[in-house]
Amino acid sequence: MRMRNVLSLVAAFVLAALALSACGGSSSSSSGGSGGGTTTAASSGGSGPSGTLNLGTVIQLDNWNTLVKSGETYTAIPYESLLKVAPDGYTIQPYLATAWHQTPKRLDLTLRSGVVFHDGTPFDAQAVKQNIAWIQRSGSQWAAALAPIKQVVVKDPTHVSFLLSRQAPTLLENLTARGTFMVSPKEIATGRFDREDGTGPWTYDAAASQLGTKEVFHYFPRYWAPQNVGVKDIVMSVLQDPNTALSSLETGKVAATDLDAATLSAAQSAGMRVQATPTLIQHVLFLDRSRTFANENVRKAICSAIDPSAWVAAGLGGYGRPVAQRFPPGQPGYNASVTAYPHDLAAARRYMAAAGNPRISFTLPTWATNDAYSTLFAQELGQIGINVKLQKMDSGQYFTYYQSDKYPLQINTSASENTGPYDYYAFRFGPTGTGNPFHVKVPALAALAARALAETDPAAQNRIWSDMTQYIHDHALDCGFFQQDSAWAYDPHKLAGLPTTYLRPSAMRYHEIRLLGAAG
Amino acid sequence: MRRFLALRLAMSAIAVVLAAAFTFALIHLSPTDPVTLALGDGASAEQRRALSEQLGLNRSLAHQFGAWLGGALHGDFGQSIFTHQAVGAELARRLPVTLSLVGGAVLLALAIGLGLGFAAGLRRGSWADRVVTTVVSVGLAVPAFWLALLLSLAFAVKVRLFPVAGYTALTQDPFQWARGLVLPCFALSLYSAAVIARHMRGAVVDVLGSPYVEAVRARGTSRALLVRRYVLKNALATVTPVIGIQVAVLLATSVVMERVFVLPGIGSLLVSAVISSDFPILQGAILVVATLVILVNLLVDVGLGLLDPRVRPQ
Repeated sequence: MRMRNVLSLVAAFVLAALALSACGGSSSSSSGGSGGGTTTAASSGGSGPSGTLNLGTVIQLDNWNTLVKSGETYTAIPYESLLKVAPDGYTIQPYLATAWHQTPKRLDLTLRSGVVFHDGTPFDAQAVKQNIAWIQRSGSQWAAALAPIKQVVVKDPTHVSFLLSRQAPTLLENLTARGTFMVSPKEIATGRFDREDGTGPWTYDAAASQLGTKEVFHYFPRYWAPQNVGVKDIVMSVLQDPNTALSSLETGKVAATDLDAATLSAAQSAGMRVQATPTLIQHVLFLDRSRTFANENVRKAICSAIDPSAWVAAGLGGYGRPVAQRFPPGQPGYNASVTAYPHDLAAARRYMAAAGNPRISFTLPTWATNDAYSTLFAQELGQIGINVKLQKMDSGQYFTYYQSDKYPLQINTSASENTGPYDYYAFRFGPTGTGNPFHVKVPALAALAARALAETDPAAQNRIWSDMTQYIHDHALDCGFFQQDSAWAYDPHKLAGLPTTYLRPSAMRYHEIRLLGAAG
Repeated sequence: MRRFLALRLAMSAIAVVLAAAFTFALIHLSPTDPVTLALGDGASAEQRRALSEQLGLNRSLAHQFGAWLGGALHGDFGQSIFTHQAVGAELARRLPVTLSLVGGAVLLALAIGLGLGFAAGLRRGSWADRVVTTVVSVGLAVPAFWLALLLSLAFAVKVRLFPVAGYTALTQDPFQWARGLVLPCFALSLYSAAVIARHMRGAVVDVLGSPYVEAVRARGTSRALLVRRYVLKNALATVTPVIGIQVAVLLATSVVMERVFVLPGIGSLLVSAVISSDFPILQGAILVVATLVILVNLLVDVGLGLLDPRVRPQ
């Protein structure tokens, strides 16, 4: 009798568990072994979207607030900006704006007609005005990027003007950035951003998705340029374990996925292709130049002691390279005569001696991604008598505090630096810049920036920005620049390649992806 | 028995509230600021104040806990700081996945562990006993994460019997639901099966050597009846508490399987909430997990009470 009671109890529990298992829990995949990308004949780009693109990524989606994203893995799918950059990373091209004319005092834009947001709201000059106002009052880094716009004037639905409070040399670049995607005014008004309402080719299917695990997008039938879009559906699977990501690639669950350096070689051995793209220019930021790193010789000593090539080899698996300065050749601010501080311990010790061999000790916060080269950094500084204590954090803690006044030095970067030398100055050396938490003033840089803004001749302006790069180098205000690549592995039977953009992290030009026909 | 049940229920309810309070306190001791994470470090003081008020973070901890607990009792766990989704709805979406994974692992662990342990105990010293003991040692030594990757490589990549990742709802396709759970459930269950097998073997050996079993055997009772009525029941009474502990272990290690096999369960939600300091999700998810563990242990206590009258209050 008692054994029957026990068995009855267990049976009841199992039935209850099964019933709960049956309730809800949306599906998050099809079975492995079926094609990761529906294969179609190669599209020449003119026949409209077709097929399903299955991708893997380590990035999770939390909400649709474009202002707080650290990358555009998801937001680049349903959203578009007024302008876009070419694959070279800095040539400006039309997008939602088809033409523009900029003077020191204004920027006039001609908007594309016939565009609607996914909720049916028309995209027009009034929507642009509402977006600019929202970004400017957000307090995010993008508010600073659009700070030169003092007024938005709507002329008619397809013409809008930005009146500027000062010259804005990087405004066009900022209008291509992920923080300036155009969002439906109705969604802005709710302030919730738990759904997307962009103008892009694909809409988010919340019912078919599992937030944070699998995100499903379908082609938006009212998209303004169907001939420019390759795939009809996109399924983004979150694959945070590199072995699972590799297995998903091998079994065809995904056609492409981002992988860490250690797993990329395994992917190549399995017949996959690897595509690496420069995405970030990292560097040492001397945040506290009022006390800990006030002495220029101490900064030069550190710049001479470090070895960014070793950081790239150890921390990035070779996916990257040391660079001499913040901006690449061809971009404003680049100075061909500036070379990186050579790794020279003897020179580093001479600089320390010139500084009086001060006893310096500080804490450097680290997280999983920069742990390896931060450890090398600490060892290198130990060789010249500087004690670095590493404080390991999770990503949440790290990104809360890394640019606060708690830590005198960082090894990092920011999208705020990318757009151009004025933004780099404002973020990094401006008295209220987010990358200047100790509010250290550099009068010489402030004067150079003011001169550059007042200069109307582009060539002369560029010479001033180059002088700024030289000054930063000569006084070791920042150093240790290195390029970090992102790498994707893809199945060459399904994709011809992955269209990425130079120095734009997590940015895939999804429109241009085409699925290959089945081989053999 | 009714008094025993009522007492256990009351203690379980107190345990749930204490777990909730402990979790609440721990979470709020974290140095991470969720307001800064949500708004970015460029947010104005006014925006930060507004969000803090919206989230109730400007009130005392006691007030916050009271408000949260009151809401939780009505099924309202608040809203995620980052997704703005109702925490309750998110937990309800993910709970079936975790129950499927852990439930399947529990059933496998019981079937394998109890079966092997029982067989080995009955045949002590035989080749079968030695084989089972070796298998148990291997099961205890093999890390679940490594086993999961091996199984995935063998049966999902090389021989494409099972999917490499993902979850299909039971209501959508029962066959794919089951197929997608075979590898993660097996990988998750092996360690617990080994623990249960070891305890079961020991319990069976102890019972077989006890004086009352000798007395029953001396009365001429058949071996089948002896094993079914006396050995099995008394051995189960010894092993039942171990099963309860293993369910808690399975819940804790399920997060590893969720990551490897991309299962959208509560474990992966918990990890994301820890990383992003999404306090409402963290509190709700930990409360659900703690409640599950307490419920399982309640069932274990009740089962033990049914099996062994000596544990019931007199």
